[in-house]
Amino acid sequence: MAKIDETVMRETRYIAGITIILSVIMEAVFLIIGKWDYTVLLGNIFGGAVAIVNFLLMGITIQKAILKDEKEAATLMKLSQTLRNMMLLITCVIAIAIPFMNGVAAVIPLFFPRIAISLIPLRDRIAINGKVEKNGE
Amino acid sequence: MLELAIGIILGSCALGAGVAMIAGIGPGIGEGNAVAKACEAIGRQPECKGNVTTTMLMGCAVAETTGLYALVIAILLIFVAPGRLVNILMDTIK
Repeated sequence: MAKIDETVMRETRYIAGITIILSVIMEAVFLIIGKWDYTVLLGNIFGGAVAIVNFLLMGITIQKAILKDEKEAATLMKLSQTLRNMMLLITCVIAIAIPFMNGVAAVIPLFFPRIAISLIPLRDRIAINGKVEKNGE
Repeated sequence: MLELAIGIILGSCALGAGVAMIAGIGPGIGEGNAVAKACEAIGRQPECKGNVTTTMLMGCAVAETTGLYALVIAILLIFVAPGRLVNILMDTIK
């Protein structure tokens, strides 16, 4: 098995971190509105894990695709997207069909990577400020 | 008549879910094109591989969310909407 690129691992770690933070916030919201039970926790864990794995698989595909020529890379990416979309479909169906898993709590974490990406400019700004402060010392 | 109405509701929901999934085609094509152009960029400037990969990874994740929205709409149309609509129909008849 090929080694996973450092860039892919770094970004996956970032996405995983934000997903965990947002999952905790979501659990708190369910608790506040009085709809929390163990099904919400199970659904959240399942959905969050699938969201992180989906991002990691996309990263691995990109890592492989950039070593190929343009046409092959595009085909590989389209194939990967179709397969990952099917994985997400199966995830949603499982989460809705299984009675001990809350469907809503499983589907919402699938959108957390998108929120994490929206926060990237903030992360970069914090990193730049940190560097400036370090150099200022 | 009631069976016909329920049949139309179920059929419309299934058709709607199918139409919603057309949005799943876009991200695949978009991601494919993005990666193809990234290959070209890395071929020209191999030293930018890290930066190009990071930007592309984020771009692909954003593009993929569109497909995810369509997926959720399709799932709602298949699993949630028929039950609700049939209930509304039954309440109206009563």
